[in-house]
Amino acid sequence: MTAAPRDLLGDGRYGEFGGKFVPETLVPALEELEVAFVEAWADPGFRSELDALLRDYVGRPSPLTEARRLTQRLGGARVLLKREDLNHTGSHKINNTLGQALLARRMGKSRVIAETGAGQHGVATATAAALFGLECTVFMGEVDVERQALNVVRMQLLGAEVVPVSSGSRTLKDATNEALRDWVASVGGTHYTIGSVVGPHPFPAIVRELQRVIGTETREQCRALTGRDPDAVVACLGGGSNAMGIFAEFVGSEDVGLVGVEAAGGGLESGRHGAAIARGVPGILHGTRTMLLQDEHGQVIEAHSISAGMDYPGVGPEHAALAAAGRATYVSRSDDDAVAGFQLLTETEGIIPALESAHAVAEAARLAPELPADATIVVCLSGRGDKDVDQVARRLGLLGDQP
Amino acid sequence: MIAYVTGGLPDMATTERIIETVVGAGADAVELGVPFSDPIMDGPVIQAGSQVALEAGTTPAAVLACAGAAAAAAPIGFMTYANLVAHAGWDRFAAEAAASGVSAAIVPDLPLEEAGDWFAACERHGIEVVTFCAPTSPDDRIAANAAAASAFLYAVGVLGVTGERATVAQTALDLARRAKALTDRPVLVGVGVGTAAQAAEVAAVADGVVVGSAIVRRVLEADTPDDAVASVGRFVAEVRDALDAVAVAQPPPDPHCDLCEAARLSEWHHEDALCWIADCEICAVPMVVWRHHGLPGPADAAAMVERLRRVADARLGPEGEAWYIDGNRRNIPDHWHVHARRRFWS
Repeated sequence: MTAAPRDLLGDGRYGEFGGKFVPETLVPALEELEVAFVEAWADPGFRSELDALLRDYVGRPSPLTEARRLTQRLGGARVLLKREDLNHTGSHKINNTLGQALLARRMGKSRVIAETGAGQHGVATATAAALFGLECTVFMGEVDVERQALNVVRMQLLGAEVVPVSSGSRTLKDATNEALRDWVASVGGTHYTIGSVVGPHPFPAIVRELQRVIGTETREQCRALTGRDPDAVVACLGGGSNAMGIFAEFVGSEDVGLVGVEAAGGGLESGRHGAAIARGVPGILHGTRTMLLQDEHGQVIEAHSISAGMDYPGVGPEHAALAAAGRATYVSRSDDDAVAGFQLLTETEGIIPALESAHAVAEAARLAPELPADATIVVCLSGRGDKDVDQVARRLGLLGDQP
Repeated sequence: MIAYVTGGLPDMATTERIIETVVGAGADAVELGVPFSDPIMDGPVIQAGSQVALEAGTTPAAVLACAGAAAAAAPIGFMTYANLVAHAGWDRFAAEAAASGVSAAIVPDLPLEEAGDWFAACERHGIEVVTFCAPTSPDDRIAANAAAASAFLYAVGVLGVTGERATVAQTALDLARRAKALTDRPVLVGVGVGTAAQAAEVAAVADGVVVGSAIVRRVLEADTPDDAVASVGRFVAEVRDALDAVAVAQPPPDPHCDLCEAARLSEWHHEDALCWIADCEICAVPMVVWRHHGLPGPADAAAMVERLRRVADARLGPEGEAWYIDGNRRNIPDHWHVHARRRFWS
């Protein structure tokens, strides 16, 4: 059965969080988007086209891999890896961008725009745009353009225009500002393919629904493998789309612990981190009310993380609400922890995770020894780490030209 | 005319002088920007202004304090983004603004759906609110925003963020006309109004204009605070003169003149503050009509004929071959208009 419109996307309120804090220009477009998504979701033709793309183009379902040597090394709970790193384009982002590109086409929009941090969402948007013949512009902070140069080239090869953003902190936050400004000017013919469960309603709900496939598959696969649901699901979050996608399926099952891992960067006490839930206060950014890193006057503070995808001062409003309600636990792992997690998974399982996902690996490594051997932890491996090899090599002094 | 000034650009003392100067040069009110780190409704100029102000250590409290000194000379409204207000608390921010002498509030990322608590706080503390409409707004949203506006309805003239544009957008004129038909609240047009001529053009169809980036750019470009104050003062005086000229130049409409009535009997091909172009009801050819009853000066007449040329060339073909200018006013001699008349063989 198709959910009634309000059940599918809700009213955009997640406890005290969420909402639609945008200039008047965009209000009609958000209403149009909500109606269009609900109609599309109820249309079997739309769903079967998306399902076929996820199967034949992305390679879904992504495997749930038993991490035997990691489990053995950690000594404790059994660790399973949800392999979003094996998706086409190398991360979970493609689940969302294909759905939104189909929606853009259905709405008659010929151009898509996106913000990107690490470049994974930009690549996934450019890929979907190439597949559907849509014009594509990706906004990327200058700092990220520099540290993720390879992804810039990938986007350009895919036919996207990459616009470096030089305002503010020159990272994901500012790229998102610039994408919103573009959309205010281009809203008639352009769809804003937002990359995470952030932004004004209905975006957080749409992205959650498009990423829910991660959780749905995980539950089936885990039951098939272990005979029951996992005891804990661990996922990293910047904005929080992979985490929301896998959590969404388990939120109603109180026995499943949900653990979100924020970026502690150089350490929570250093002030250089991206831990919006741990260290933020409620605020309004990019059209939504959520936990937000800000100074005493309400100016938004730059986030810091070794992983560009977690360099975001806010978090999806539904995560803020899950934290406030105590339904999910949010912890943070530092840059050093992430690099250790990166090395650990690579050495024990032959899987190089994205630095973002390595935060979740690090938390699982902390958690597993605390749990009994018959417990199960699922780690959402949101992306692969090829893009981060250079950065990790520099940090570990593995390159010959390092001093 | 409302002049937008970024608080704290380049410093608070200069901001106070700029406010004094724009009021002295003829601004009816001042929109004082409280700089925010992530101004999504602002283009590069006001972004840069905000960034400079923030780097200089500008705080919301300091900006509000500076409003107080100037509020005696002209009404001061503040403009900022929802987070700065919400961070302080809706009620506390409204109370502090009121205490500092500010009389109106402009928060562009608080649409009606999110503004309930804020509007209530403003009402408690005697702050008037400005609401918005945009070219994308359907009539019912324009009406709802107008009904909520205790100060005025801000018509965002273009699809886009703040910034100067080469010409006045047709969207600005269309939106102002649409909004005026839906409400008795004052309708002011902002975004994309950056020159004296543009202000005059827009003022002919709206109750006023908001000029922002053109002012902030002059402050950013100035070498010294003195230069900034002088440059902004000259610009605002220019805009004031142009607006006053519009007000003086308009002869009253004649209630018996069909052209003054400007009934939209046929499709309008063009309109601006000076004139409109439509197919003549009698001759069925494009006709340009002055906005005002009587006869214009030669410069305006030439400008209007030029606009008719553009329309007629596009619709009828090349001038001379397909059509010619016919300035003969046969039926209504005392209201200036010109036909683009078809060649009989074309």
